[in-house]
Amino acid sequence: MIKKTKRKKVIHCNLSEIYTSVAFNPDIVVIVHAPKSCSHIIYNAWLNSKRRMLLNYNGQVPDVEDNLFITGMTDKEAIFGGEKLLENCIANVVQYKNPKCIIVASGCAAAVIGDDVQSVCDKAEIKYNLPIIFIPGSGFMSDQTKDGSLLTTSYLYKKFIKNKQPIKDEQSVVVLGLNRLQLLQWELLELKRIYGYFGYTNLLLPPSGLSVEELTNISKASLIGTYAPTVEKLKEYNKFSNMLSKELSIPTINNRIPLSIKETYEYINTMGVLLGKEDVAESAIINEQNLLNSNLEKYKSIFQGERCTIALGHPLRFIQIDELIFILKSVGFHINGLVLLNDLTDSELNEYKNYLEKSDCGLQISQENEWDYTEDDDIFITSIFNEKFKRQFCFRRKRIGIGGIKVFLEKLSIITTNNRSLGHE
Amino acid sequence: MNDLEKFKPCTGYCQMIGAATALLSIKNSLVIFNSPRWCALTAERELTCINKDYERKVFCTEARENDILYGIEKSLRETIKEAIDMEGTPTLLNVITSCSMSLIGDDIKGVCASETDCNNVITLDAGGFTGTFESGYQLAMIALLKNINSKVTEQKSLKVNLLGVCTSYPNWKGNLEELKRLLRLAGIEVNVALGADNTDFAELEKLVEAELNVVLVPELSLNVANYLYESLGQRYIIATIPFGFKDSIKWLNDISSELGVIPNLKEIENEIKQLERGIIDEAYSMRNFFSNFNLLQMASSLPESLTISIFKAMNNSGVDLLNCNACYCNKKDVIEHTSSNESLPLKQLTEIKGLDGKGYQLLLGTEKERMRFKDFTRTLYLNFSMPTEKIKCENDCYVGVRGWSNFVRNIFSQIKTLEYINKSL
Repeated sequence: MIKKTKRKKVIHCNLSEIYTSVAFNPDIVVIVHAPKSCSHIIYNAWLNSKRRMLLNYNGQVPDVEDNLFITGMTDKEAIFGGEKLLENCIANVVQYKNPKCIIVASGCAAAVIGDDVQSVCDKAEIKYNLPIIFIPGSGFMSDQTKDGSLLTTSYLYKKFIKNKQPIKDEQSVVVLGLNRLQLLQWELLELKRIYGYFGYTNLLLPPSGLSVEELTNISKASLIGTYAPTVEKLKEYNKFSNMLSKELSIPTINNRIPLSIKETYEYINTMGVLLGKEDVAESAIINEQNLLNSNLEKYKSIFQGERCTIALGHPLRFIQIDELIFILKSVGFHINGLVLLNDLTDSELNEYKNYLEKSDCGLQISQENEWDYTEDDDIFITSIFNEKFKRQFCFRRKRIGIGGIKVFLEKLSIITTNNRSLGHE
Repeated sequence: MNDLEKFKPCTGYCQMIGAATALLSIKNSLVIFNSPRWCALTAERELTCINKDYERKVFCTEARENDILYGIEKSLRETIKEAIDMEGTPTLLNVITSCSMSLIGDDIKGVCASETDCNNVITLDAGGFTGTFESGYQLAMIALLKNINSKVTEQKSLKVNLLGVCTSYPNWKGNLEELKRLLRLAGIEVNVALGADNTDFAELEKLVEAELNVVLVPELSLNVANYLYESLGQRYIIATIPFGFKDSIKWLNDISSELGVIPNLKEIENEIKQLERGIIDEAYSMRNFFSNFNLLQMASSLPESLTISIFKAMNNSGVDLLNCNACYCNKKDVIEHTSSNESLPLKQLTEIKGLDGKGYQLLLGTEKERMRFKDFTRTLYLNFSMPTEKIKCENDCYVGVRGWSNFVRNIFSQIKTLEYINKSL
């Protein structure tokens, strides 16, 4: 079982993220320099995202298609090199698609055989008088996890942002790390609500969905925000956002987009201090506290006396466990205990045990194998679907702001009020 | 077709997945992907759609940059140990190497031999470089057959092997049962169905007992049949899985003729008469209300041979509602089985355009592929390639005689639903 391995080395193939980060950009075509099968992975990720958008945005899917191509390296290229094939592919894309920009992303195989993709792109750029950007996408050839969306943003930035000191748009904020393809509609609204306290109404989420012209608007923004699901990602993003901040003279918030109650208050407070609007921040925090309390109170009448068990199948770094316990207790749940699922590796399991021991959460901690399933009526509030649970609610690893908690409780209430056996956040 | 067509993304699945599908069909078999984690996880996700149990049967060497430089031996040894620790010594241990790792040329077989007591070890290079799902499947099957102890023995008359059974096609089990039933009624016994899930390794030794190999899907089993012919002298016939009543009778006649017998098909013909009457009656009543219904095109992500079989069955069914003008699929190299004189309006799947004007289309594929074709209110859909629906109806079938009835019923039911929707819009 791959996910149970003790040798787990978390790496991602950047190809998917490079493409999906610009899949809805009207002027950009992506060429992947890799074997044909790699495009299946990318294309499927795109179809999945498209499906999610279709179902979450009531059918409003941008009409941008036919912008992914693959060189389809074979064993012949593995022996003789794939540069000619790439040149040929670029020529065809230029001739038939007439794009304003081409991104060439190379996969693991191209990296192993040592194709000089950069040089092919440089020559083609001169030949066709067209921006052609090379982004190394071979995830496993690097020692660290690189974020495909960040890579793409930084390369596009280098290529297109020439005027670094334009007149600023006081209502625009650039949010890094969020792809419109992966964002739910309410998450976008929640972001707008938080930034709205300080007068920001125009959210730019580069690079997704932006035309080549619109990409230049990044430099006109007057604030930079960052989304990052983990601390490691935040460090990676902050490095880039601090560089942007310096070059474009735009303030940047080094906290991530808030993924918990505490983070929400801190985020608003930091923004207030950064923008010299402490008074706005103060009243915004009070507003958020009221919003939280009114929601907790509202759902108390629904959940009071319900019994639940928390089940965790994702590593600690992805889960705000203290907050989850707090919310559930606040709305009247009786928490029977906490189960650490078999999906966790030994080291992830130990990390949880150490953390929970120190945090003194007061819950009985068990491993999946030892858990007694006799209390069948309990709801399992779980990070991952488990067929052993008769009633379960699968929660998301991230939820933005207090609005996120509201949605969490709203979805959870469907389980109890409609007596469902399965629900998803 | 312009040159750009060949650079469009792949709509099939990776060779590694094809190989793993073939090898996991053997009872107590384990698969190690010698690849980066990302490739293995993608493969695992697809394989889990076929059978949830496969999740615990697949492992990964977690290849990284260091392994390229210093070899994968250490990681492979650890993976083999981990697999055996978790699942016990398998009957069959398989190591499938991805494209990037196949470039290094590690001695995979040697490591396996020194690390396990397993008597049957298969090592394969099956990256996307050299082929697709279908070629991976055949490669693995041939490697599997090379591992069995088959001695040329006396072949039993009227006994056949079915080649090309594949668990990655939904309803494979019900379809196989229907083919076996038809053959049984025609007086022919099925010896081994190669590729059926949970096949005993020892059962493969019985393969030689059959008088004839029936190639059900040439893309999945023509090379396998050739191998068996060359190594064991076993004859074969290409008899693509039949759809529709006429094709089913022809299929049985073709196999019987190859076996040198005249089959008694009276019972089957009586059954067809009954089922045909129901279809004609239903079509007649539908024609009153849905006379404008027009099936403009069919798109299929199945292999070309199966697509042709279905397309022909629809157009030869005598039911005008099923007549279809054009057919799109993954056209591969010319396969001999299509060498009939008929010219079919067969086009490459990547060339498909949206619907123009009034009319409907039929998609035989997956839920994800549905996203490509849009026009949801004018698309009839059946999950025919990789199983994406979680509810498994094992006895459902679409092939042969009973399957055709089921196919037409499903199509008619969808026509009605879509016509109601579109007429009320």
